[in-house]
Amino acid sequence: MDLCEYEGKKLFEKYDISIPRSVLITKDNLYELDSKLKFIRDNNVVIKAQILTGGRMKAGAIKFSTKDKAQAEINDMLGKEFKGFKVNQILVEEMLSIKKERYVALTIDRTSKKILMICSPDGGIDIEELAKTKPGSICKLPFIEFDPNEIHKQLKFIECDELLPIIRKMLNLMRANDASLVEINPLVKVDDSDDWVAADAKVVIDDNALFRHPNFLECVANRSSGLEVEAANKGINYVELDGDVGVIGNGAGLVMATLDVLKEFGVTAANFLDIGGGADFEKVKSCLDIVLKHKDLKGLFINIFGGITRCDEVAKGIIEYKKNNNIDLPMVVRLIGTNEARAKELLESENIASIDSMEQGVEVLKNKIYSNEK
Amino acid sequence: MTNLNLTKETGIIVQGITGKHGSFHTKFMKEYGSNIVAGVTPGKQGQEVEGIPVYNSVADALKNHKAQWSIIFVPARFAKAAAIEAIGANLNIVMITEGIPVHDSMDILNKAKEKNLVVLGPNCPGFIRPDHCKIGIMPGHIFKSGNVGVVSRSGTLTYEIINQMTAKGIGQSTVVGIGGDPLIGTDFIDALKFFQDDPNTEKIVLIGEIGGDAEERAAEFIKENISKPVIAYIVGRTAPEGKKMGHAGAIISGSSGSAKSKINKLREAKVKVAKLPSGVIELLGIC
Repeated sequence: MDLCEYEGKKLFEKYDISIPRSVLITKDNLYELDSKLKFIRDNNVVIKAQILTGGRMKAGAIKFSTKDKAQAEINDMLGKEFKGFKVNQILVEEMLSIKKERYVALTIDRTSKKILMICSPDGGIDIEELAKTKPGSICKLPFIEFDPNEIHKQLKFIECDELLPIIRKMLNLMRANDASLVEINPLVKVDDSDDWVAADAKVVIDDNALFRHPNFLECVANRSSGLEVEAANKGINYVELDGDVGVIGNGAGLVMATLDVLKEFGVTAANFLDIGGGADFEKVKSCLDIVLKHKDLKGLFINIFGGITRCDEVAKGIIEYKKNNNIDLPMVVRLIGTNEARAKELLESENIASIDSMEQGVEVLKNKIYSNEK
Repeated sequence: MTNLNLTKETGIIVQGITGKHGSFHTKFMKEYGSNIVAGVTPGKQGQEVEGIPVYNSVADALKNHKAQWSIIFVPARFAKAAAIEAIGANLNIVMITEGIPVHDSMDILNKAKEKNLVVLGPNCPGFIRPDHCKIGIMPGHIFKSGNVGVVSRSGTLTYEIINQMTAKGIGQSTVVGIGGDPLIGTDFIDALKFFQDDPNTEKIVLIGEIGGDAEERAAEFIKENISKPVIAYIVGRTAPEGKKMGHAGAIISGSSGSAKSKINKLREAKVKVAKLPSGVIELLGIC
């Protein structure tokens, strides 16, 4: 789960990483703006939309302003959409007078299977961009245990003694909160101070570890995307897509393959839905419920290859759902693998045909959809 | 070399054997002929599952039985402790459990590396040598003994392709499911090394997916080190950028991780890349 900038900065504060003075404005506390702004001493402020997307500056979701103009800027920004994200919260921060900018991040490296420290003296720039244009300026160090001497060697070109304590705090934050990314870009040194301040915060919390961190569940609840959240709450991997054929499958790979095959046959999926491993019939019903909520569906394809999942449980779920709900669109069911014979018996007794091959199944569905449209 | 060699004698412990999935798949592994010697569930010592004795700890089980591998079905929140226990007892591990926190995976993998042990997964279906032994949850009846080595990031998609291979009479030497998490133990390169040296393997199938750069790195490795023919299929060609497609590891971010980049790199390494699952079988027939 990606944290918004202000959520990340709250964590930074907790771990004693300096952040700029700021106030969080929503439409509910907008009327208190004047009194809240008193908390910021300087007259110059930065107005930052709290949306989960990069490149906010370019998109116009970050604006430099002054206290007296803040009201107008905020009114303009609240409720507006940038890159498809609606602004509900705005962070108003003191403007920092920047002397130096650095990039510092900790992430988890798939290749070395260790924590990866990434630093660059060129802060403030998109790191992917920097990797292309100036790869020599990025230093990377994979490590398991925090070793100041090793980091010293790597960071020779920037202020190692000053940055080490900050990196240590970032590591504490990362480990204690199951973060998969802690990024400060830029980390800035301000005029008239020895302090380094995190001008931005990007923190990603590992979804798999949320059971250890109930404090973040509130952040999860704030993320609005309707069906995806509803599905996630039921332990179902659901992603909304642009097409019009509902898809239910088991295993991310098989579902992705199903989407690829659909496309090959000229139909497009309305969703990605991975029912997960070992689903029982109740979960199958929940999946049908979610997929069929999608408006303007033209067809439904259920593609299960049972390993840990038992086909007969899936069949039971489909049959029970059908008894209580009307599925009035072309549907193709394909259940093979563990307990497939029993599953086919169950489906047959309810007059639901099942097809053995995925590609054949997609073709049959396509033809059903065409004849339905005629 | 990563030792993925399975025989009828390979001794296996099941951690989490009394759970729903643990007991279900113990039955199927045993029926397949795998040499399951003991099970472990804390507090359940003295019970039996499918005729297999259950112990409180891996150490207790190993007092009475010999094993080289442990297969772990323990729920995500307890899986790290179970894995560390098995590693402490010098067992290679297959981690079936999905949803393990990435920091836990990192700790498990580094512990195993210290002791030079093999980890398969987490979030993987395990591995199988048809007609000999399976340590995993794959439906055994779809496999057929033969000379094609298969390595895959995805469980059910592997079954899909194996099923089509077997239907066409193409058998498999060993099939390895490395798992769909961002952090995994055995990776494509480890499996490729094993297949290159494995006398039972003549051709190799690599099933990859979007996200990360494991397929790109495998392509580099194939160029230099693999002389046996390799056929690949990369799933997720139609997946949109920035959306996590089920597997924590399957996400295209920016220019990296796309199916296109992987397919190009594999083709540069002279790997034949199939467009659809059925294409793998066609390509196997002509190479």
